[in-house]
Formats: sequence, structure tokens, C-alpha cells
Amino acid sequence: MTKGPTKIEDAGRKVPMDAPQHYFDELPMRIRDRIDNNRQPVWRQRLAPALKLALVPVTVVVLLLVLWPASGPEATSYEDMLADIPEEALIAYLDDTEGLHLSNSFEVGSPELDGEVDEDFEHMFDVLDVPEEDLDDLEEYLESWEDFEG
Amino acid sequence: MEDQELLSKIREPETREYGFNMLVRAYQERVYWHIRKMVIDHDESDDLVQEVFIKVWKNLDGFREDARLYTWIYRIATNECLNHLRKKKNRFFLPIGDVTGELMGRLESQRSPDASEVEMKLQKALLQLPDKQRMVFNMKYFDDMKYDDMAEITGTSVGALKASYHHATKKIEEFLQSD
Repeated sequence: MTKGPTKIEDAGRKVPMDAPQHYFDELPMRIRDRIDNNRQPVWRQRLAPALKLALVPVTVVVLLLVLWPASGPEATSYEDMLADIPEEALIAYLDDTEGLHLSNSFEVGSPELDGEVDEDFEHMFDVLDVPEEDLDDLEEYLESWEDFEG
Repeated sequence: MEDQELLSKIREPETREYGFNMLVRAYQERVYWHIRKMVIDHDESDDLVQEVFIKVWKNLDGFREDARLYTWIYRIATNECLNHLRKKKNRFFLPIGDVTGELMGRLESQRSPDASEVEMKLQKALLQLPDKQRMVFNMKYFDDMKYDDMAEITGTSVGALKASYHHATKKIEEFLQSD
């Protein structure tokens, strides 16, 4: 059995691999081709730094255009929109709108309506058929409250 | 053509491309074998060699007058090579042993028809070393490079390079004796 080399020098300085035939004849041309393919026209080389600088403000503007509708006037609540309308205009609108008249009149007050309520109130007691003495007691009780409120 | 002559041709706009072509012809074989001994595979080496010369072309304007073209090109090639091997190991989180095994396989499959067993044995021993130590050994043993030049290329002190070469030699001899 033969023993392997014990000294590095015995292995020599040759590398046990080859390069393909004509490889080094063609390599400079292939490198040149790759450089030419990567090369940009002069106007693009000169414009490139300016385009990079412009990219930041353009991105900001695009982002604003995209995000604005989401947080813009359309996103405002109805309460905010009503708050912007003058009160007189609202009253005028409600006065003109039949059906909404009664419910909204409570807020603005109406002498005519007050009279109607009084009449309704008296009529209500007729319907309930409350004894006369009890009505007197109730009237007394309400007067005492009016005194208290002063 | 001397390096200074090459550089003066490259600096002139009319002869720039011709000068670069001469530079590639002057250095291509040295750069190729410097890389091939490390990555073993021809196709990978070919890709890296092209990358090296493209980088040389792109950075020629920044090349300092006081630097040497030879060490500058070797430095680019060395960095390109070590980065490639590092990426290869990180790509699939491969253990070092797996990469060594892959390189061993490539060595066998791309073996020269006239390669001797001893030469193959030495290459297999080299594949057991860490990449930087293998690089140092290759530059000293195969290329007979001066330590000062190696220091300029690797950015390491001459003392550290001598120690690295010494350790590499010991490990290789142990491998050759044990095998």
C-alpha cells in the first residue's frame, strides 16, 4: 500500500481544473457587450440625478391626492354640515316643510301651539272623568309649585 | 503593456475603450484563476470575472494615481469572490459542511483529464479551510505573491497573513497525512 504525500510541495502548483477552449479569446468581447448593454444614453445619465430628486415631491403629491378624498369634505359628518347652515335658514326651511312643522315647533316656540296644548289639556281631563274636588286639589298643588319656583 | 501605459490610454477619451480592452487582456487569466480556485465552478467564476471587470470599468475614474492597478484589481476580485461564497452559505442557511461538500462535488465533476491524484488531494484539503485562509494560501502558494502585496489586497497586516499561511500549511499537511 502506497502512502500519500506528506509535504505540500509534493502536490506541485498546478490546479487540476481547465478553462474552456478559447474562453480567454472571447472574454474581453463578452465583458464589452455587458458594459454596452448596461450603458444608458447620455441624456438619461444627466437626467438621472434630477429625476431622483424630483421623485420625492412627486411621491408626496401622489400620496396627498390618494389620501385627500378619504379625509376630505365627503368624510364630514352631517352634524358638521348642519352646523354650517345659519339658524334662520333652517327655520325657514322647516316652516316651509309640512309634516315636520309640529315636532320642530317645540324648539322655536309658538303662541298658537301653546293655546292648542291648553285646550287639549282641558279636554284630556274631560275624557278622564276626574272628580271636581280632585281637580281642585290638583290645581292647588300646581299653584304651590308655581310659588315655589317663584 | 505596462500598467502606467494602460492607465494613460484609459484616461484619454479617444483611447479609453482600447486601453480598457488591453487591461482586460492583461489581467483576465490571473483574475479568472484567482476566482476559480475559490469557487471551483467555471460558470460561477465566469460570472464573477465579468462582474469584476465591469466594476473596474465603472470605477476607473476614481482610481488613485498612487495605487497600483494590479493590487486594485485583485482587491476587487477578492472581495467579489468572498462575498459570493458568503452569500452562497447564507442563501439557504447551509451549514459550512454542505457548501464544502458541494465544492468537492464540483471539483470532481470539473476535474481536468490530466489532473493527478496528488493535485486533487491538495485541492480537497484546501476546501477544508475557512474561505479567507484558503484565499491567503492560494495567493502565496500558487501565485507566489509577496506578503506586502497580499496585505494591500486583503487589508490585513503582513504578520496576520504570515500566521494565516502558517496555520493553513499545518492543517493541509495534517489532512494529507491522515488521508
